[in-house]
Amino acid sequence: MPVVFLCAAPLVVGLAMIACARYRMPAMAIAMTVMGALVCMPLIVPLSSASYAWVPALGWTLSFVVDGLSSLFAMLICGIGAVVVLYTHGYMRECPKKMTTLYGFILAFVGAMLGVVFADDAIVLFVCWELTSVLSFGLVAFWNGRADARAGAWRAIVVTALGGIALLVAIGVAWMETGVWRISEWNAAFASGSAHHSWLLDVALFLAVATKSAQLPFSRWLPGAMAAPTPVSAYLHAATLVKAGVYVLARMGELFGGPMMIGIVGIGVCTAVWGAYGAVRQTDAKRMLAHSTVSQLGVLCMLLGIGGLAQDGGIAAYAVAMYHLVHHACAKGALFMLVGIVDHAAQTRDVRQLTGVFRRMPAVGVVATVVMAMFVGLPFTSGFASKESLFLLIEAMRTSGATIFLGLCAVLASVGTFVYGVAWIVRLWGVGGSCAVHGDVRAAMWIPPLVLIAWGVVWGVVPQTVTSLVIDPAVHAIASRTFDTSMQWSWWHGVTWALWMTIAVFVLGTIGVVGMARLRAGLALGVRGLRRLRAVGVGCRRTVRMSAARIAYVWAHVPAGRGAGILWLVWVVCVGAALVLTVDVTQMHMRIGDVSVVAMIVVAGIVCAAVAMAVARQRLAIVCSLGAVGLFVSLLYVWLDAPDLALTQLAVETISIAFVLFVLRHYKHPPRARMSALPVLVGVVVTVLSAIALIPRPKTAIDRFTAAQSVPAAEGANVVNVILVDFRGLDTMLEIVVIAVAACSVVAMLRVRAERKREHE
Amino acid sequence: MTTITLRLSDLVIMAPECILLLGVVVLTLADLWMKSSRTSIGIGALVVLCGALAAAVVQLVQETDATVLFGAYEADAFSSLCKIVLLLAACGVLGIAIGTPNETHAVGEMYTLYIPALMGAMLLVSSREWMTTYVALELLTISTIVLIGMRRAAIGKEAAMKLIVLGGVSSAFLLYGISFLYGCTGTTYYEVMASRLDMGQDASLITIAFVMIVASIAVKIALVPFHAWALDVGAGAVVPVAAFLSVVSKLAAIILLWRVCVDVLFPHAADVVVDVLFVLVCVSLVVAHVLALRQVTLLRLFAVSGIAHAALLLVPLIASGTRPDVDAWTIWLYYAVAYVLMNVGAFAAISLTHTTGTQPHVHQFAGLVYRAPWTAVAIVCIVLSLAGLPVSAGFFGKLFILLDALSQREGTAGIVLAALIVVGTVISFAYYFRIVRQMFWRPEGPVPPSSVRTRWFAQTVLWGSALGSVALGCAPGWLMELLAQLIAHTVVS
Repeated sequence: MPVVFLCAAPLVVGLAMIACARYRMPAMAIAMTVMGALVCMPLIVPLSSASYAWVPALGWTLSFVVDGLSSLFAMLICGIGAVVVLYTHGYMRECPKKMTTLYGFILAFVGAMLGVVFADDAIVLFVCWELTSVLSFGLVAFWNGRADARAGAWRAIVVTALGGIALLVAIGVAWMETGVWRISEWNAAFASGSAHHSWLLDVALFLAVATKSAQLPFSRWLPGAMAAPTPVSAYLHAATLVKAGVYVLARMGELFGGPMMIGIVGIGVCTAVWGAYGAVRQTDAKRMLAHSTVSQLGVLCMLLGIGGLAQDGGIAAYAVAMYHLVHHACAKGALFMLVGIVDHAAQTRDVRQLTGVFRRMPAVGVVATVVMAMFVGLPFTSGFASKESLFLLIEAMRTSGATIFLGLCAVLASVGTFVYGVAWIVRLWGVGGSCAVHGDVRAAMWIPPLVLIAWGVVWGVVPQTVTSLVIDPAVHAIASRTFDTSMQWSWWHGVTWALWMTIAVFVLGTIGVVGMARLRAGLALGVRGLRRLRAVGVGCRRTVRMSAARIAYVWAHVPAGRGAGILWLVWVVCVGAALVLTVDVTQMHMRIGDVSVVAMIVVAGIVCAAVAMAVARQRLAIVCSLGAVGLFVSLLYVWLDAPDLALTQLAVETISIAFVLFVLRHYKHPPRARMSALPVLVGVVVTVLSAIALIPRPKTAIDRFTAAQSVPAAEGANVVNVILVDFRGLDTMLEIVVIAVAACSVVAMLRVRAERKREHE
Repeated sequence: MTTITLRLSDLVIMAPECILLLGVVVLTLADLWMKSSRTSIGIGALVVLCGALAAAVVQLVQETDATVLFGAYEADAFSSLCKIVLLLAACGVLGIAIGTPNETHAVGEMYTLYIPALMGAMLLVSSREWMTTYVALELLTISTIVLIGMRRAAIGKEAAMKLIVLGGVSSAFLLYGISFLYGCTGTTYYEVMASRLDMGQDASLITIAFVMIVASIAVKIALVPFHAWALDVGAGAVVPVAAFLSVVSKLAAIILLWRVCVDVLFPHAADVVVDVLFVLVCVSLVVAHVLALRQVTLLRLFAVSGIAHAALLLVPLIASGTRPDVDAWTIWLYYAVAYVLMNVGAFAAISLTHTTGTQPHVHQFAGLVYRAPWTAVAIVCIVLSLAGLPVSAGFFGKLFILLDALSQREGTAGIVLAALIVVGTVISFAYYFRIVRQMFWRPEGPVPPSSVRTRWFAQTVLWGSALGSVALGCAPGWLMELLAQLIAHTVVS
């Protein structure tokens, strides 16, 4: 139960705060209380895995897993969450009205994120995963009056929703493969080989990871999401949301096949370099940090991929990954907060306008310098240990072309990190510049980054204790087995390749910082080349969009009348196919011996009238031709000695033509003349059908009965008339009744109309 | 010679329909004496619907399983459940209608005419005989046509005319198909017909008849490519009538298709019919979503998105192939309930934010969060359900259908269906979230003049559907088990 409470409490409180945002309330106190409770609760009530019934029919359970991995993530979520809540108070003081909403969203997000990391049931995981996407949409679009915030939020939700669908597909495939919904059981099944990897599962799961954790080619939403308030960026886009993909990669590692793991390592390493490159180019501090987050997420994916590929269970790689994860979450969170402080004081984040700003706020400058040193990995900081162990890991791998490529890329990414980090600090401490600083820095804003960098201090003092308490359990959970040897940390490993790589990073990095301006110019040259490529992409996209719009337009404007045409088409196809398949043409023969000249003339008249109707342009002409067809048909009846039928036909024809003319009087649009093949086809099929009707066939029982009984029973020689008025007389009478009722209602309507007219006058 | 007798006990079996019939007669007469306020007629109609609802619930609880008129009308658990869903939907529609500014010529009829239309839909559910089916279908269609045509604006008349032409042609084709089957078997009862049909002797006739029947019902459901009327007619009707068309009429036609397929078509030509339906469903899923992307007029948007939902509702039928099992029926019913909740809710939202005298447009939601925050919250819940995002009834409904398609239908067909559903869902985010985007972001164009009008019935409908969607999303298992339990013996037997 404590786990459920942990996930549900912030979610419920957060949603309630969003709903009641218009009322005044001590939002900060509520949020702090909830976060405090979350941090303290596991200390009082030990958490444990739990499972509750949910949809037993489908085997879904509300099951939660508490192990080293989920605990590590939960620690980050709750710990950094509490710090961010405090920071938000300082950041949002100018805008107390929207404070409650922001706190509500953050709390709800905490709940959803805890749900993601604790869920063992795949459906629970998916639901929470989507919740984080939706809530992050709300958080990024928080300043919804700004166009960039709306665009950024939109891009983020589109990309992450795509990932959500991919995750659902992956869940579906894994379920079909194993028949269960528990992630722990999936891991066991895939590890033991009782379930098989498939490319669909690989691709879908990777898409989910790559979209959420901003891997190439889905990394562009993360810089766009920087329009969010800074506390949100510090929390979502450094510490938690973007790590959800990494979490899934770690949690469901067994579900990936070997080839996909290689792909993940490759994409991770490319993302690391690409992100560093993007960060060097940026002048906006927050966007720079976002690109750098992309880069570090690439490193994390690469590490987890290496772990998955390793023969020995990948313990070393997992340990480095988990260590790097914690280090990055703290350092990047602190950096975001410091950027927020500078932004608040100087009203800009553009590094070109911020020259020398730290000289006016030296305390902030010192803290920022320390954090940045930690981040770029200067010796005797946690970042140094992190980078060093990454290089050691690569060194320990079997030497091959791929390993050398990996090493080069890792060095390149580290050089990039060094360049943008150090260049930023140097610039902000620089001489000159006319940047004004307003107001003082509030305690609520400078305490949080200090708390976060305390991690580096704690780790520096007792590295092994922290490792065995935090990192090892998580690694146990990922590698799904326990081991004795813990990760050993030391500052000096002897003269190894890793040392040379570190030296290369510092040397190249220093050169890069010194030649920053030239570096930027060179990069810009590269960008121009890329832009040409992009123009091709834009052209393709425009073509696709235009043609899609065209197709949609045509489909949406199909006139309703053509719906009937489609039914006729179905009829023609079905009946025509049946005719072709079943009717024997040789049996069809019509007697044309007794056809007279008169009949020929009448038939010719029918044909002429029909053709005239088809080609006529004016409505009146069409109706008149239709009437002519009817008249000729009644003539045909006369010639066939059926005056009663002829009279009936004449009456019906007259009435219906009059009716049509009456309606057309009110119809103003000109007719659309269109000849199409469909009526011709219908005509052909009907002709063939009537020809078949003329095939002589043996008399059936009902034929014989009516022919024989016509005179004796009803005293009428005309069988058709006898059927109408005698054998089925009741039907005829009821039909007459129906017509009479209809006539009555017509009369009533006409009278109402006449009355209204009189009133009008 | 057998005599046809209708006993009082038979009328009890048909109680829901009888209550509706009595109600509509009384209300029509009452309307003649009433001069001023017509809202009371609407409330009266609501009371009648509640009476019928109570009758249907009682039948469900008592496990009524009986036939009337030699089996032409059957009341069993499944049909009672369907009737309850239809009645609830109609209650929602009436809730939207009450208080809507009068845009029609008539006054009392704009409430009372829903009842015969609903009666037609309910008879369709229970009918086990072609003539009853046909008459019920016509009752539904003609009442709807009048409802549409009563609108004062010319667009309403045009819509009614289009439905007359298309409804007439499709009814003619239905009769055409039925006449072939009657010719082959000499009966109009589903069960007898199914036992007498002989595929060996009259294969081509029967196949033509089956295709004609499926095509004409597809017109009523508005599956692509028979959807041409749906957009214009949906946009031409006033909002509550459009809701009725999109929910009650559509569901009734889908139920009819299920019933006809299971009772008559599948035992003889399952492969042909399933293939035809498979093509229709796939084309509908693709075309409807793509079409909806371009719509900004809300009624057209929902007319098109309704096509996609209807196609989804047919997936369990074609996934099962021959005879749907209890799971398929349950999944269908679950999604039907979800569909009613989200669509009725959506139309309530449209009606509440709509300015009289204009066509409902996406822009009417602009900045709603700042004008009416609570209404906006409810609308967000409904849009989540429509788009199939958790935690909502629509999400689980779609998920059940997806899993059913994957698990029941082997090979590529199931994967194609599942892939189309997934891709369609992704596309649908784009057009459903346009509404949310409008609500949350301050309007850039002209600001909609009024805030949401306080209309208690429509508000109740909106909140009922929003909360219902969320509740079903939180506890989908509860409803699934209840439904499975209720229909287990009907469907298996």
